Amino acid sequence: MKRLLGIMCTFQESMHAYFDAKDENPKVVLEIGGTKRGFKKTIAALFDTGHSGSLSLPVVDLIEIGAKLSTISEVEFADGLSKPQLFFSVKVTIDGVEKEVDAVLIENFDAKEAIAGLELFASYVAQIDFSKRTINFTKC
Amino acid sequence: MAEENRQSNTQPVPTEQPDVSEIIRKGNEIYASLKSELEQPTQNGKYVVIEIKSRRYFIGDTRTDAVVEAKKVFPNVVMFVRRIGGVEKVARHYVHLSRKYARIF
Repeated sequence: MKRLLGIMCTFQESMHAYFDAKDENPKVVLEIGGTKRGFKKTIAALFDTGHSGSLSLPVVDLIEIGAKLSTISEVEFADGLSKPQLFFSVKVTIDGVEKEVDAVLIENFDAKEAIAGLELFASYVAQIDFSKRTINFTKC
Repeated sequence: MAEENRQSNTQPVPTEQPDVSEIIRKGNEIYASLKSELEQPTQNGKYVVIEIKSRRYFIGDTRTDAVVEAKKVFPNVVMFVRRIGGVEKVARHYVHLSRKYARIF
């Protein structure tokens, strides 16, 4: 369902984003899938505007959807240490559209929350109203 | 009977596991050999995906763009990805420093 905003932009009503009452952080609801045919998992990912990648997923989510290892990168930490990063092929459904992205594994087994980065929302305009605690996505 | 035993005791050939360290070592080696070709002002900040056996590479504006192109040719191969110009920097990912977040800048 799309509502027209001005001349060019449409409000994406099917995008489900909200402020989490537990931790006060902005969350985006996504559907993720891997190699398990027909299996989709709905997750609420932290919407991180400082994350330039697409998606970071906890190991339990990757196992549950049967994600397949796709690519490997080497990243550098602030102290100069380098470390391999494993990226898994994940089908993400946003706004009713499925697309395949490389999601990075969050190696910390304690992590339970996915993190959605800016690359995932590159075709949207995101408006976060901290006073009203609302997040809206428009497509222009 | 002996023949049957031999057959049942045959060790299966396992599916080849991707060697993470080797992919990174060779990927960096190939990147270094292509550095002058890749590190052009118009390509800085883009991503390169390298298939280490064939040494073929694919460039995209984003990581996803580059991977999608590479997967059209090598759908089942684990490949090496690097940002052109500089390695990706990471914050709040190191297990000992953070218990919750992981992200790449």
